[in-house]
Amino acid sequence: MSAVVYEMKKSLLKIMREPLGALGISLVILMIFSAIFADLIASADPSKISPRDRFLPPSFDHLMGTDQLGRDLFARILHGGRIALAVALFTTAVSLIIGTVLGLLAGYGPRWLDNVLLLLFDTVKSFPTVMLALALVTLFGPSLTSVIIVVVLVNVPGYARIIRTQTLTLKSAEFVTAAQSMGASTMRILRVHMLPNTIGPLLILVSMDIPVVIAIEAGMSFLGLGVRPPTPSWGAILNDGFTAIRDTPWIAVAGGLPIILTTLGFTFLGETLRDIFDPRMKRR
Amino acid sequence: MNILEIKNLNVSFQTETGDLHALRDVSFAVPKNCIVGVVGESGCGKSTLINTILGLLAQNGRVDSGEVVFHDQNLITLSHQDMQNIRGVKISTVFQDPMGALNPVISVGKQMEHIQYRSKESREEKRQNAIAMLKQVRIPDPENALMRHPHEFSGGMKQRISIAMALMMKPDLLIADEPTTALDATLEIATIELLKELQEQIGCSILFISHHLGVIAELCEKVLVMYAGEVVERGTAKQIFHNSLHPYTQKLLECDPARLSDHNQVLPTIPGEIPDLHHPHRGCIFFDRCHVSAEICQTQPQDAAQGDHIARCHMVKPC
Amino acid sequence: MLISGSNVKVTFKVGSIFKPQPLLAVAGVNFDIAEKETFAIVGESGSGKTTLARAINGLLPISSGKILFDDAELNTLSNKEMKAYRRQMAMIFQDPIGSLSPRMTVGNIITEPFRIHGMAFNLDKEIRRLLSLVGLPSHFIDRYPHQLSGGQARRVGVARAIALNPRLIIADEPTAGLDVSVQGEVLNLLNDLKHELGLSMLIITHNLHVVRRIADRMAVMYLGRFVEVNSTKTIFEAPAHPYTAALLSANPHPDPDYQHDRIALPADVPSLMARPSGCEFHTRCPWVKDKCHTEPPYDISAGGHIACHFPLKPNSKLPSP
Repeated sequence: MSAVVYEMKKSLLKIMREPLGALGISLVILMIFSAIFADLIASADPSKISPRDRFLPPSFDHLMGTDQLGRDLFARILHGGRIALAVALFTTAVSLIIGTVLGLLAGYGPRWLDNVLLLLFDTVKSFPTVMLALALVTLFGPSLTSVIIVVVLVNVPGYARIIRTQTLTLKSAEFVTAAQSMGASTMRILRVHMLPNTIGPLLILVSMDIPVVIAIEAGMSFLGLGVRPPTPSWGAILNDGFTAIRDTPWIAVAGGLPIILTTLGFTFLGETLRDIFDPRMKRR
Repeated sequence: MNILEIKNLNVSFQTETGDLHALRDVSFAVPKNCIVGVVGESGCGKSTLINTILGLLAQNGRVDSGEVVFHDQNLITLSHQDMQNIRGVKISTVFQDPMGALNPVISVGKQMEHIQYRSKESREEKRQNAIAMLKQVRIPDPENALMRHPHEFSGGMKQRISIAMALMMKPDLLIADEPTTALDATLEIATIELLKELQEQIGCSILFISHHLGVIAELCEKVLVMYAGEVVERGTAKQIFHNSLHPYTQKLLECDPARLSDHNQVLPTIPGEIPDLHHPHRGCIFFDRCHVSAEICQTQPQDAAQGDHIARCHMVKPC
Repeated sequence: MLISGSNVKVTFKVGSIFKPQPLLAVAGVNFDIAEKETFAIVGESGSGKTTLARAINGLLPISSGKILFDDAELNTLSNKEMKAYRRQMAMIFQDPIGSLSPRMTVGNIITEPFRIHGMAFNLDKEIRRLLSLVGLPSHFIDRYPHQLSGGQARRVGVARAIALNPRLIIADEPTAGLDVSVQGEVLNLLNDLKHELGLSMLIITHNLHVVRRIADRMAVMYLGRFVEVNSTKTIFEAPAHPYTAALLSANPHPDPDYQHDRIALPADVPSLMARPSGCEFHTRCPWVKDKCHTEPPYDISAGGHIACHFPLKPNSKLPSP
């Protein structure tokens, strides 16, 4: 286990040395921190409707102004961060697990299983995200559940394919043959030999995918297909601000700014990770 | 007359953990119409040497000092374009893995035509040149071979094709980097016989790198021995194999099982490992593993010459 | 006999579903290895030696014939039954670093056999014992394969192979990828272990010098068959099969003045998909006669055997053209 910690510390150092990496990781930490401690940072209640205070511009009391129902936007976007974070991390974890298991099975298992799974992946992938969202909303109604299922379906085929390709490559590697010759069971080979060696590139992709996940959630909420009011979601806030953008632009800013910052943060982080772990990158 | 002269070459690489001094004060010459062998084990700097000569050092590598003189020009000072004009025409290369030179998706004929891109001849003439070259390296049915792809040939044949491609422009110098290491013994013999023949016909020089001592002894007139980034000994093949001066060369020859006449069961080895080249070594680079070292070996040895047989060792007396 | 094989054949299916073509990689091999004996199989690429080694180890199915280990027919065993025999038979692979799992430490790599067979106790003691047997210092326990040199990685592979005290070690090209100055280390180690632990060894190699050093008996393999089997001494002193003679003469000697009495063969090995008729070596044999084109010289008996109609007498010279 100490080896894992050592590797993580080394990676962190490398990330911090790159300017974009340091920026990226700072933004990410900022976002996570503010989401977790939203209650402490913003004293206002994000759901408190106050018709008197509608459309107030940014001020000391309301750092980002108020929306059309008088709710404090700063508090709303901090709490919205929780939705974004929950969706991002939870769905990513679920996609990762399902994608990895299916990918390992497709790569290491018999040919027919591989063919069946590939067919499955391609079928799911051929649906445009919006259509998938609409279809699921029809089934489950607009909700967090729909968002999660959409995100998982959109991500799993891609992840599974990556793991599958890596597994196929490694299947004939000598250390796998060595394990077979020692009498290792298939489960053991997958768990001990395949998994650690295939998951690396996937983790990098995942960190670059998190902004995409956030965007899907925001997009669905923007379209009214996601979380229902009064739950604060960046996408919903953006939608609210969109209609009122001429006179009260700060609402749109409030909705859009966190999306931009989080997306940039994870993207910078992911790209830095990829550059670090790409052995072909030449040192400058 | 020398076709290639390396003078006091120093090359290092910038890495995360400091500068790696890959080549230190390397000097030797390749005469015209001569086969020169480079003997060395992993980590001796052979690849760095070849890449420096060809102008293909990685981005984090740099030539700290020294010259690579080819036809009175210092290759290190040449522009990228000028080097490109030399590579493939005046200096060409054969690698250990023929697929390093062969494009798997293009037919052999097309590739051999592409190599001649600088020539003003017609396509048919280029095709004839290719057929003639394939005949010289004894590929059966050359006209048909032109239409096939590399994967349709066996390992030995692929290597012969890449030799044909390297020699097609009649270069002045052929650099062969472990060309026979991946081949079986019978193929290895056939390949070096072929190289000998072609060298005589074309009149080029060959710089032949290998860790297989037997092949070097058979093929090369002059030999240099590299260890951990330095040329520790150079001379004619006879001098090196019959009267080696440097302790590393002596030990290396001892280890070659082909030389052992006594079939006792214990094989000699050289204990220890090559030193870490990140920190410039004080004193002789072979000191830690040398069986005849003394106090003075903690200082950098100079090249001691016995005629044209040179060894970098304090224990060797020049004469 | 510890392990023996009779008429072992290994066939691969190549070609498409509509036109499947069987590729006979091992074409009927008989062998036996006694306790504490070192047996070498020598051949060039495409001879089928690695395929045979993997078939013996159960990594590949055999298409016909039998492999007997202590009177048990290995080829008929289920995976579960085979597992017990895997403790007695260990394999060392060609690529010293590639045969070690990249993200496992040396300590874990060496003790994996214990874990696989449910014997994971006292592992610390075992690690130290095994590392010292192969001459590696104990601080190597936490190293990763990419931090090892070829020679060190090779030793780790050996340590892993002897972990459960097997009776047979199969070594596939034990000196491949190693510098000359390091090859001796591995061979000396294998020899020492053989004497200390009373192992039998099956060595697959194309390096004749290795064979001369450590093998008691050897077989020369060509196109999936044994063409000559005998004690190492006999074969080196008086090779009887023309292919063996050619192989032995093909080694360049590290002496510029050495006079080579070379038996040169036409360089092209026939494809396994288009096997020559009669004696399969006839297309390249310098001593070929009419009979060789039509009649196969393969007898099935184990023990000293030569697959040739006209075995060479000692000190045979090349026939004049």
